[in-house]
Amino acid sequence: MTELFVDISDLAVKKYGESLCGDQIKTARTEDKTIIVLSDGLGSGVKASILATLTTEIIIRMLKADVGLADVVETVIGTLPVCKRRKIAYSTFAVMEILHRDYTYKIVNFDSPPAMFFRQGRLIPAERRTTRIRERDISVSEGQLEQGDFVCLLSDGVLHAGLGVKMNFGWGWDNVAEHVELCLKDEPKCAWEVTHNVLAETHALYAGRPGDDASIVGVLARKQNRLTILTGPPLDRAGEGAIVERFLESKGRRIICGGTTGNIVAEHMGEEVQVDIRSMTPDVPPIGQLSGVDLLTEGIITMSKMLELLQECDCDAAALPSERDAAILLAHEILTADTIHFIVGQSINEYYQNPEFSKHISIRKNLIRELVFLLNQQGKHVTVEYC
Amino acid sequence: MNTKVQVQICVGTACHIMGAADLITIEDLLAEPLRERVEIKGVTCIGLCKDEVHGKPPFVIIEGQMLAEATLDKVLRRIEMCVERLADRR
Ligand code: FES
Repeated sequence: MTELFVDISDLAVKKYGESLCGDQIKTARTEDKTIIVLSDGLGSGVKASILATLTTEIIIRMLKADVGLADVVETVIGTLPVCKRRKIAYSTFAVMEILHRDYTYKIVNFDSPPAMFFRQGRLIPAERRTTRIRERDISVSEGQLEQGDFVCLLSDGVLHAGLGVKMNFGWGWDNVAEHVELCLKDEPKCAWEVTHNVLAETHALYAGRPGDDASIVGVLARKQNRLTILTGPPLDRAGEGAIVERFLESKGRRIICGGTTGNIVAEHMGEEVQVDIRSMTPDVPPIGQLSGVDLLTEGIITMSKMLELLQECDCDAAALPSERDAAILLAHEILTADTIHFIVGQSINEYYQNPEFSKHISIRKNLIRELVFLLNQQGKHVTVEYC
Repeated sequence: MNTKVQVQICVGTACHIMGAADLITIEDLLAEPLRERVEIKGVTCIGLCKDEVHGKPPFVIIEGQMLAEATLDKVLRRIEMCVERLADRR
């Protein structure tokens, strides 16, 4: 089974003139599963926003605590207030749960537009069954994700786009699905490319003044890009060999950030690091080469610079400078990866404590902490091990 | 036998911050006849920065001899010396 990465992008626009969005989306990733919830509060504005927020929060929390999906839905429907006059619940929702073990998924829709499922770029009519929970109809669809599959959850604000402005009945489910198929023709690298496109179209159909909150979640199952970064010499010299072995056997791309670390690995392989001095710039030390390692850079200066680059370009690889120094290459590698494992050696070079020197560099641990925070925000799965 | 003067410039963290980036430009500063007789290489941290006994970074190794607190001027002079010595030996 190919290792997949579930790439999620969620976007929303609020009703014109409102200060809060009545659609709320929340996603969570645990060790075993990925959970996505989209909730649409009745009406718009503050009240709708609060109801939708409550709904997403309750669902996410219960699912994270491993309560079964059916029980969660039952609890939420039992708790949701119902509009007396219109006899409808104050918020609707769609939930998708994906198990990492085998990528099987389950989608539950409660009064929300049915999810769209695309395989090899084409809309697949989903088999839905309807169950009744607390006298309400719930639609459920299940399946197993394959590489390239795309799933779309949306609120009715997207389907109604253009209503009374450019179209009599609004954009509509079928037309939206067709539009997504069109987006998928270009084989998007990330889910955002599709969600961004659909929401831009939604906005345009509303002539820039959405008559309802509109939101979308795109889920793209793509090949997992793994990366392992070894940085800093381990505290325990005796354990070095095992760490180096593990690093060299890790799946996916391998990067070493640190000259001394590079030397340790080279020594274990009976090789020598080759330095390409032409790649050196006044700010960034040069790139080194070692077999079995995809990128070898100096440690602290290069990583600090890379963090700065990520912050400057807002984690958009297309906005990185076009030059190819070690920090820029490192930034590209990190942005391409979905799952990143850091092996951080904690041995400290005494000289770095020297006051004339320490003002130039930050401590490796702090740097990693800051970096992990940023990458987590980007939806990357990051793990750190200290040695 | 290698007929070129071997110059290894450390480009590790400590040496880089203390000026190794400048030292790399040495190749451009060497006069034409000299340039062909020198081989310049970058090396990762050679460990000299780890305690103070060797002096301060940046470190350059020229024909096996260590130069601490290396500057373009110092490196240039040492290279010239070595080139002369190499010529005498032949
Ligand atoms: S960085 Fe040059 S000797 Fe350590």
